[in-house]
Amino acid sequence: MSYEVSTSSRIAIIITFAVYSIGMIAIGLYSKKSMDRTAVEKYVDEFYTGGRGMGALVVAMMVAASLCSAGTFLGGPGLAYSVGLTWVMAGFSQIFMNFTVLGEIGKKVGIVARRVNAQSYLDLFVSRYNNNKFIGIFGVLSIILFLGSYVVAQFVGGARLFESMTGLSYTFGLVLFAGLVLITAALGGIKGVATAIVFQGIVMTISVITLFIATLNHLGPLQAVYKEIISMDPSVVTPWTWTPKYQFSMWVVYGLVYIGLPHGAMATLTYKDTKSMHKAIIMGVIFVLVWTLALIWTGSLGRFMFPDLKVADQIIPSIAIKVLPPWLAGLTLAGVAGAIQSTVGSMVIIISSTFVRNAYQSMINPKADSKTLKKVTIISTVIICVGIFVLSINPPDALQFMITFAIGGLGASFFWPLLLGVYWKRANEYGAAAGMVGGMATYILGAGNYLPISMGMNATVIALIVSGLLTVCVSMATPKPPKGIIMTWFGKSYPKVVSEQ
Amino acid sequence: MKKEEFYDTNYNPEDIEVDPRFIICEKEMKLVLSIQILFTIICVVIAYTLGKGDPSNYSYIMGFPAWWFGVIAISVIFTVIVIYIVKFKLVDMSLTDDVSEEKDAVKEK
Repeated sequence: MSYEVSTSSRIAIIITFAVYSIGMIAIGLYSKKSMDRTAVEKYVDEFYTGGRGMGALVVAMMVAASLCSAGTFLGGPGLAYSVGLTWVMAGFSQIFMNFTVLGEIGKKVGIVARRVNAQSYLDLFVSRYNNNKFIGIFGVLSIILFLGSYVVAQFVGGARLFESMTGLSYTFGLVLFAGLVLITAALGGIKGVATAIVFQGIVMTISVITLFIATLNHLGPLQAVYKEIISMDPSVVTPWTWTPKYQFSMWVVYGLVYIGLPHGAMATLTYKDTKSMHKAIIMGVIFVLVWTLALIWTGSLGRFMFPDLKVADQIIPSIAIKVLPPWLAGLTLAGVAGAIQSTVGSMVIIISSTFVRNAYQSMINPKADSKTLKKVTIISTVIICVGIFVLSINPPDALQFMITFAIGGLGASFFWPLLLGVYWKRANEYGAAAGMVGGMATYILGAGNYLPISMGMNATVIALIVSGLLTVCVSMATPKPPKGIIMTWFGKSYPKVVSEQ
Repeated sequence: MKKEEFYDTNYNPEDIEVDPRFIICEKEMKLVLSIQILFTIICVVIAYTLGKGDPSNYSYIMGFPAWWFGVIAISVIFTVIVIYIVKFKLVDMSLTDDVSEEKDAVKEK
């Protein structure tokens, strides 16, 4: 560990974090009360999409905070520290994530989701692609396995940070993190998670701005700082550390594929009306701009303060402890926790909705009644939280494999089937299935260096090319999608009832 | 609708009357995508042009290396553009298919 935390500082940090935790528990219990009052028939709908009544601030945070996780708070600044400004520049590509996710598919998905009662991200694929069993199973497995692994990685990162900043044990940190997510997600469903996310987003914003201002204050005139960094290691200050081709590919990963990530696109199922959605875009863009600018840039400036940090991911906590009074450093910890828990909360809801809607309700027990579904919803969400906790205690090595491929794999695999499904009448289940498998496989082969196909870029680019070609060509070579589905997804009038013959 | 009509795959997709809201959604999707792509290209071009050469020879604007200032400036400008587009170009619309709302299903700003 490269930063020393005195005992009095630890106590201040613990107290600040405790206040944050109590806030989270209050939110969870309040949301539980709301869910307890919900009629059994509506429970699943309320649990997963909040009755589609969410307003602008909530939607804005749900997109932004779900997508910004430990990556934005720890890993990203860590890379900014080690790689430099060229990485920070790539980070800027994510600023408009609310704009791209909501602006590209938000409104049409909002309309169609109401027509087909989509409660999970995968429901959209299942509806558009004719209940295709392969897509259902592939979707369920990839979401549960990849997002599950990603969640474990988030927990591990968060608990380690908690341990080093407070001096309390790693396991206690895990229990705390998992417990807070469980209370908000399992008891409150998406409303619990969404409320928590707003609270976390506010904490994230305040902590980020505080840290940024304190850092700039500490450093003084930046030109001198940059000259000093250049004399240490010029590669930190020039964009040419990465080739233009590689930089461009990073902008594809962080700027374009977000609709392919279930936890980011989830908000399209929940927003109340287009006015809220539009406001959510503007709010979200400003939040992400502030977080990205402040955090990742600060990480690169950290090179000046800590030239020899061994573990780059520690740059943000190191800076926090150096430039902030202890209770504000505790706020930074709360901010990181908020970023992690907001992402985890959304992912838990996604995993749970995918399991309950697309595995249990569609494949295991289609005739389940509302009471059973309510029980299954709560129980499976609890089991998911507990399972993630257990895996985080001593993460298996295979996990690292899954995590590396989680975001790129899911994004490359879902992007074209979703975008083409929404806007191209000819996209059918066979094309989508081919595109999903092709995208995932190509990404793993490229990113894992099993095949030299990345062409000097992030593997997502080649994976997207393969996935797009497959989706289009296979769709054109196979029969059109059923008329009823196209009417529902494109038509003015659509079949509300299909009679059995 | 009868099951066999729902699952028919021999129809002509052009025969389906498209909801006017969806036509707008597609236009907006293309606009949004174009903005993000434009933002990408401009940032990469500016950064790699202004950032050429030995960093010890960099010129500075407001304390930042020139190319870095360029990237930040472009990001701020595009943020303004995006806000403008959302406020003035994206159209409000009804999310339901209530018959009574059909007349004003698409509300112009």
